[in-house]
Amino acid sequence: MIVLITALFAPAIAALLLLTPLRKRPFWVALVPGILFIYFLTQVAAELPAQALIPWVPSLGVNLSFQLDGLALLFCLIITGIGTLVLLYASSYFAERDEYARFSVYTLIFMTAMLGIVTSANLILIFVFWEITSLTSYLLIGFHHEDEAARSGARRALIVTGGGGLALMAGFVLLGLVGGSFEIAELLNQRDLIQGHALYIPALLLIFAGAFTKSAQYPFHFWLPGAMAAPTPASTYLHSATMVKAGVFLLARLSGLLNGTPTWEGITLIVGLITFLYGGLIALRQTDLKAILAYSTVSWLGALVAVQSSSSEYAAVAFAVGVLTHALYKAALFLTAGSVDHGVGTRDIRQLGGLMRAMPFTFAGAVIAVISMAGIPPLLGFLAKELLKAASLYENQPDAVLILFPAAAVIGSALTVTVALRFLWDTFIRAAPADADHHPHEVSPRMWIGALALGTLTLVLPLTLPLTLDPLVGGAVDAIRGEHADIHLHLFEGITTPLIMSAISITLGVLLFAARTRVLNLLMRLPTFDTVGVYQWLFYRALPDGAAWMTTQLQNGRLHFYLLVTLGSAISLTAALMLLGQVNLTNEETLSGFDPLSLMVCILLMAGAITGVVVPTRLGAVAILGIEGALLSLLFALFGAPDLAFTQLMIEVVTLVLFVLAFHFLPNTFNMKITRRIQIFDIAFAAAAGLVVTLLILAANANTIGDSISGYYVENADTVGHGHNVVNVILVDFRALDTQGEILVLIIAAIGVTALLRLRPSNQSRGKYLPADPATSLELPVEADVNLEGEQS
Amino acid sequence: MTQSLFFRFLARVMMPVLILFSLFLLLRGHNEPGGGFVGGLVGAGSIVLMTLAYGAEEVRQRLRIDFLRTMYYGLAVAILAGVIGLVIGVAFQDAYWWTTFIQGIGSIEVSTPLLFDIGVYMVVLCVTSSIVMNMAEEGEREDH
Repeated sequence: MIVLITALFAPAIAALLLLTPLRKRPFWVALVPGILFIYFLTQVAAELPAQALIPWVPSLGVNLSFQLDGLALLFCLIITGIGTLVLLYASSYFAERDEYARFSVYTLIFMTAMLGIVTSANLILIFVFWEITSLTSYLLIGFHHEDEAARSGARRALIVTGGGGLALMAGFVLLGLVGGSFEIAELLNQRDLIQGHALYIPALLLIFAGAFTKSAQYPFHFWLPGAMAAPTPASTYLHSATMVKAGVFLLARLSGLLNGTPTWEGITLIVGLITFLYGGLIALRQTDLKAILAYSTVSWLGALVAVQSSSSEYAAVAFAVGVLTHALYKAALFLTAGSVDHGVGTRDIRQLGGLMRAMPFTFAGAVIAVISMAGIPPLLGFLAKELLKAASLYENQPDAVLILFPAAAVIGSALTVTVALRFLWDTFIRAAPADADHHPHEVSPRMWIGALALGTLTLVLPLTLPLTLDPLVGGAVDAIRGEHADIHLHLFEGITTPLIMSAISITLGVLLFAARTRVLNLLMRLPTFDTVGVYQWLFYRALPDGAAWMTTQLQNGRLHFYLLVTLGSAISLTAALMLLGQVNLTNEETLSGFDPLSLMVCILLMAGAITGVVVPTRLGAVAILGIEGALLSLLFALFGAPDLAFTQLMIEVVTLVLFVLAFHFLPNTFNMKITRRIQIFDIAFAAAAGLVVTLLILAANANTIGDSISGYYVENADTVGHGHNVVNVILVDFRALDTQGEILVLIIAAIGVTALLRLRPSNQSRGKYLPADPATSLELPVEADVNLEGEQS
Repeated sequence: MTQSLFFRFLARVMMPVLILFSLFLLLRGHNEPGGGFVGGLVGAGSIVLMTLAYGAEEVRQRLRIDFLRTMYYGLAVAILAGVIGLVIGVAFQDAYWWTTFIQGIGSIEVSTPLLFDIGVYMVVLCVTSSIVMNMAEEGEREDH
């Protein structure tokens, strides 16, 4: 248990260490995932699942509960294995040590979050880690934040995946409501109840929204190509091998719980297949190496969603092998694209060519990865494609889709073949275009070793199936389906239908590649409905315009209007509620304990209030406000609250000083040019506000609901809280969390005031904040003052 | 800023008194009226007084306290007090008391709520002072 939790959080701890002087020599960080990879390898043979549980918020059913089962283990190996290679690669990719350290910090935090997602056994915990991956992804996409494309790509990814994350949380909460727990193991016992519940479909749709945005399914796919503004090591790691797989992972994780209904089957199949084909087609149209790979990633993620429409053993096997295979070859290809960019200086496929000789080691890695991607035997990709087709054939689907899935599988695989061949041919094999002006050179061993290692793995794994993949995939399939099955993978099972289908798709793919000029022309003319436009309209047009409209309506800079709106809504709502509820305003205790001294203070207060309204100068008004405050604290003192009285008095002093300081910027007298009608309206309005507040206090006094908590505080302050001053014990002990929030608000207010005063447009001279219109002139000082006043409660 | 010698003298005399008084309020807060919040305000009162007498610029140079930075330390102290409870107890902000005996003074109770109150004191003092000094500085700049 301790070992598992340590393993999960080790990358995050390493990231913290990078904030110490250890960042001066950051190259040790690749060791962390490397050691974890070896640890997880030892777990393949170990007794699974391993569990760990630490209560976090037990009253809400939220626990740090982790479970390392076969499915989690498969992902853990991918995360740590590819993480090691990526960190190694990045150490050479980034020229500057500081950049490498920053990249490593983000990547290591991401790694812990990703390990957390795959090993969490609690829905809320999954959500927490899920959001951390979105945030670190945002930081990594925007890594070169001085670049506008990087910023907008990062923002887009965050909006899409973060929005999906919120939907996911809503879905989880619904599941928790229905099943009575957030622990996946406990929910599994309620499977029939959940699937029959009215909230099943809403929960399912919300969870799909989360999974599909994360895994870039059509129509949410567009953030992934935008995310290619990230440094290539980040794209390799997050946007091909790990994070985008979180969505399909979640479907697999919840498959045992939610799968088996027509809704699940229909949506995953249709969305998955559309994405599969769409991604393949669009990948062909791209000219940027990374964009090609991004769309082909979208395509394969679609296939991984589609296979999950069934809960059969074939589907689970196809999923497990598909995830692993794609991670291996796509990471290798991304690393290759980064190396090409590094060695040549461009990623535009139209400018590239003939790199075979200049970059032999990079080429070797790319060749193996491409052959695997194309699904040519005997590489791992062949096995994955074979299994995909088997899954498409042997599903228990309704007749209408019986032909659909296999046909899509063949066409989609054919497109993958074409994309793979084009990637290899245009970059490495064909002669460089005549007008290309670059001098390619081979990259350092740390950069080509990764792709080569991954390529070698896709070559070795299929030849050692019983030793390597059988236990790994078997464990994953057991975890997905919840029952044990003996998995024995074979590269060749004789002449079977999947083999024939594979032959067809490879042939088709090669033919498409041969006719690529014509195909491309045709594709370029093909109209595609791109959802980026919708996104752009929504977040760059509709939302800002709507916000601007609302702001100009509500925040028009006139204090008078603000007061009218806030007070008006407060008193009308309160008055309406009191009228509707017909509350009692008095009871027998209303006027008991009324002493003449407080009456006198009250009369003085009222007299002061009236004087404050009519006094013509600002200084006079502030002086009267100060007197009012002092009287109020006297009243507090009379009611036996010395702490409150003292604090109120101090606040009054500080407020007074602030007012006086603010008078530097204000004219000495008030703007008195108000028409009589407005004046009468204001007086009536103020009287109404006063009346409603008075009635509210009376009503609150006359109607006690339940026991007041003050008794508990008074009783326990001395015994539990070790203090005689109940107020202070409440502030620093019983309700210390509130106080902590309040001092945080104070700090934010101080930052706000500093920013308002010190930061200004560069062409504006100091002190010139106020427009000529005196009606708006109260804004700044009031802001500073309100923040303090709001705190004294 | 004032040129009044008397006010300046008064401010200088009052400053240590106010600071001591604010610390007194902070420490006795658990049993008598007082506490970190009002203590911080009184402490800030001394800074405000000095600012009014000598001007923000001079106070900043003399004191050499970066209030904007110190308020984060205050928050850190308050959070630390909560974390102590989490580490040695069950939950965040669990309260703990230790009684120590110091020769010549007597027994003193040290506690995590006291530490928390010290954090509150620091935040309130620094926030109030920084706001007031910022405002005063703006006024001075406009006068130039």
